[in-house]
Amino acid sequence: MKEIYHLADGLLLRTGKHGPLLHDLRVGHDQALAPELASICEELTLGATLEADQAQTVELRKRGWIVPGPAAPDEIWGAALRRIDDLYYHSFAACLSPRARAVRELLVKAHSRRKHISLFVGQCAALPETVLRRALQIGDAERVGKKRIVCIGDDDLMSVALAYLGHDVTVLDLDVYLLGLIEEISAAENLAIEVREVDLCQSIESLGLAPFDVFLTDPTSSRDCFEIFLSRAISLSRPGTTGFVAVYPLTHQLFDAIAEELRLSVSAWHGEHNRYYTHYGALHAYMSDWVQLELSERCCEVVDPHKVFTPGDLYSEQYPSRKGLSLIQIEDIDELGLALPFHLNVLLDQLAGEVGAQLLGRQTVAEDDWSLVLARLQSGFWAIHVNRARRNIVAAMYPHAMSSMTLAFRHLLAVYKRNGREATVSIFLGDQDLRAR
Amino acid sequence: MPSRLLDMRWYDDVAALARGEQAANDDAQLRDALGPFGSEHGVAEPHDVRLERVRALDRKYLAWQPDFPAAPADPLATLQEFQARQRLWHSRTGAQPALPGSAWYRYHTIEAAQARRVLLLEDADGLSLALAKKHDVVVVEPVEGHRRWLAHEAERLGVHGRIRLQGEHDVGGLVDVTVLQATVPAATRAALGRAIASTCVGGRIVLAVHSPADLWVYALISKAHLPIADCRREIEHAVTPAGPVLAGAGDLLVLTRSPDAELALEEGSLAEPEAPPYLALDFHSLAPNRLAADAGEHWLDWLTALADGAPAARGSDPQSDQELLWWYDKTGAGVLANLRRAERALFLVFLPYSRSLEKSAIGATLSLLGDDNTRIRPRRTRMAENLTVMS
Repeated sequence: MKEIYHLADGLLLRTGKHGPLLHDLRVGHDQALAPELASICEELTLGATLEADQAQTVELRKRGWIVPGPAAPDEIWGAALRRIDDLYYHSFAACLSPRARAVRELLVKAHSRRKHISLFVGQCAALPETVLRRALQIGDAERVGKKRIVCIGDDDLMSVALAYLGHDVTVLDLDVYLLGLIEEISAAENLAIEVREVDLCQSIESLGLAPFDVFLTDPTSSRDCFEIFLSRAISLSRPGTTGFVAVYPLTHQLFDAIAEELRLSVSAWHGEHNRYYTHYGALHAYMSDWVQLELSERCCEVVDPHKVFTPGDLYSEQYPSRKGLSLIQIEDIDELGLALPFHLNVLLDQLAGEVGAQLLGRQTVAEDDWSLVLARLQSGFWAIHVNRARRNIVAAMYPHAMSSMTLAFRHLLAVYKRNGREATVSIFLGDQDLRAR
Repeated sequence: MPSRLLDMRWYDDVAALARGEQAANDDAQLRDALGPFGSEHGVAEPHDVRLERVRALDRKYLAWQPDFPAAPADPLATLQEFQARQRLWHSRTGAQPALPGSAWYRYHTIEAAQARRVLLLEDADGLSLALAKKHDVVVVEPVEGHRRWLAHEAERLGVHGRIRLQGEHDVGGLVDVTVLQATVPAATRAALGRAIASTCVGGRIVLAVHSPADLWVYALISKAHLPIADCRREIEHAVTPAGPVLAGAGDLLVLTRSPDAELALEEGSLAEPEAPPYLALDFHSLAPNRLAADAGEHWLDWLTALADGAPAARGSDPQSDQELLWWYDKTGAGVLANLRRAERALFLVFLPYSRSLEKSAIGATLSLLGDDNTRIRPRRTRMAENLTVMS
C-alpha cells in the first residue's frame, strides 16, 4: 500500500563531502546513512509516497526516522531555531509593525520546514531575524512600492520575507530541494515567487529575465564566488539597481578590490549584520557584514553572461587563516621544586623526542617567581610558562597537533598535578583549550 | 596619520591641551614631542570630522538595528559628542570604551528600569553626562585623568550638579541601577560585590559582557542569586583609541538585585587576579606599508611604552615567512606574537592572560601595524543563560 511519509521531527539531513548524515536534534548527534537510505531520506525531506511494506520503509519507520503524512513544519527544529533567533529578535520586536512581526513568524515556520542542508553548494542559512532585518531595509511594498527583486541563491529564504512584504521575487538557485521548498511555501502562503534552477557558472543568456530593481546575494567570500555572483547580478540589473551582498569581515579588502574591478559603488556597509545557524540547529560562529551597492552604467561584469565560468574553489572563504592553537593550563600545581627552567627544558626535549619534532631556537626567561621556556619549531612554537607564586602552569603549542597536546598534558599532569579535581576542554575556531584543577 | 609615542613626562600638559586648556609647560620641546598632532600646525583633525567619524561607526555597526534612532538626537547626540571631543584615552587602565550607540542602548536599559539614582562603576563613554539630564548619577572612576575629563564635560554641559564623581567606592545610600563591565574574574567579582551592596533590592544591575568572559560570568551571577531579567545580545561594540571596532560585540545583561543576592567565596580560577581566560587574538589585513623588516622590533618598543609593567624579557626570532616575538614584564604577564608578513596577519597568545597587557597589545598593534582596513577575527559570546548557543 502506498502512503505519504516525511522525515520525523527533530531530524535534519545534510549532504556534503563526508557523505549524507542525519542530525538528530532530540539526542544531539549524527547518524550515518547508508546510500540507499540517504536517497530516500532526501526525497522525504519534502514528503514522498512510499510502499508501506517495503523493507526500507519498514526499516526507516522502525528507527523512528520517518512518519506518515505530508511534510509540515518540524516542531522540534522550529523550537530550537526560535530559541536562538529569540536571542536577538526579542530585543527589537517591540518596535516592529504587526506586519513585520508576521513576516518573522512566517520565516520561523518556513525555516522549520527546511530539513535538508547541502554543504556541496556552501549553504549556511541566516537566522530569521537577520532575514527580517534585511527585508525591512528594502521595505514594505505598501510604502516603498512593489519592486522586482532577484535572490541569487536563497538558502536564507529571503524570497519568502520579501514576497510577504508585497514584492515580486525571483529565486535563482542550484538546489532543487530548496527550490521545491520555496515553491511549496509560496503556494501555501500565496506569495509572488518565481523559482529557477540555475547554475550561475553556466551562461545565463537563455534565462530571458528583464532587469531587476534589487538583487540580494550571500556568496562564500572568495574571489571566484564574488566574481561569478556579482557579475551575474550586474547582468541581471540596470543602472539604478540596488544590490545587497554579504561579506565576511576578514575579506573586506578582497571585496573592495573586486568591487573596484566591477565598478560597483558601496553606498552603505552594515558591520556584523548577518547571523546564521548551523546544520546542528545552533547559532553559527560565522557572521558577515551586509554591504549595500548602487549600480551605475559604469558597472561591468568580469564574467561574460554568455559564457561558462570555470571556478577554482567556489565554496571556501578566502582569507589567510592560521592553524589551530593548543592551550593547556594547570592550576594549583603540587610540585614547585620541579617547576624550574631546567625541568621545563627537559620536558620540552622529551616531548620533542617523543613526537619527532625538531626544536630550533630556544629561549629561557628565569625570574624569582616565574619562568618561561620558548622553543621555535619549523612551523611554529611551543612555550611553557610557570608562575610559582600562583602555583600554575600554562602552555601553548602552535600549530595544534592532538598527539603533541595530549602528550604534553599527560607529562605536565604526571609531574605537577597528581591529584586533580577536574579537567575541561573547550574548542573554538580550531583552538583547543585544556584546563585542569 | 601614523601614531607616535609620547613621553609620560608630558602627560599633564597633554591632558590640559586635550581639555582645551593652556599647557603649563608649553615650550618648544612639547611642540616637538607633539609634532603634527599639535593643532597649531593646522593638521589636527577638526571636531566635525571627528564627530562624523564617530557617527559613521555607529551607522556601520548599529544603525541597522530596527530600534536604533534614525537621527542623532539626545541622548545619542551627547554620547557621540563626548567621544568625538575626547582627545585623551586611558586605554590600558580604564574601562573598555564602546561605540556611543552601544552606550545609547545602556541608557535606554536604565530608562526602562525607571531609575532615579544610578551608579556607574567606571564611565568610559560619558554615559553619566547623558543620564544626568534626568537622573542623579554617581560615577566611581578610578582613573584620575578621565575623572577630570568627565568633570570638565559635565561643567560644560551644565549637568555637574547631578553627577557625583569619585575615585573610591563610597556611594552614600542605595541606587536603583548599577552599571558595570565584566573584565577578568577577580575584578568582576569585586565589582559585582560593590554593585550588590549599592543597589536596592528589586533594582537592576546592568552588566556588559564580552567574549570570553561569558564562559564564567553566568556561573558567577547564578551562584550570586542575580537572576537575568533581560539580555541584549551582541550590542556592546568596543572601540580603541586607534579607531577600529574590536570585532565581536558583547552582550548587555540586565540582572535583578534579589534580596538574597550574595557572592560566595570562589576558589581556583575565579579567585585568581588574572586567571583564565587567556586567549589568542588574530589581526588581519595589517597595513602593508607598516610591515617593514624592523616592524617587529618597533612593536616590542610600543608594547614596552604602553604596558603597565616594567619589561623583564623581550625578543624576536625572524624567519623568512614568519617572525616569533615575545614580551614579558617583571610580574610574569606576557605575550607571544606570530607575525606573518606575506599574509599581513598577526596572532597573539597571552601566556598567561593579562587584561591590561591585552589592551596594550591591541593598542600597539592597531596604532603601529594597522590601518582602516585592519580587522580582528570576531570573538563572539557563546553562552546565553548558562547554555552554549554555538555548536
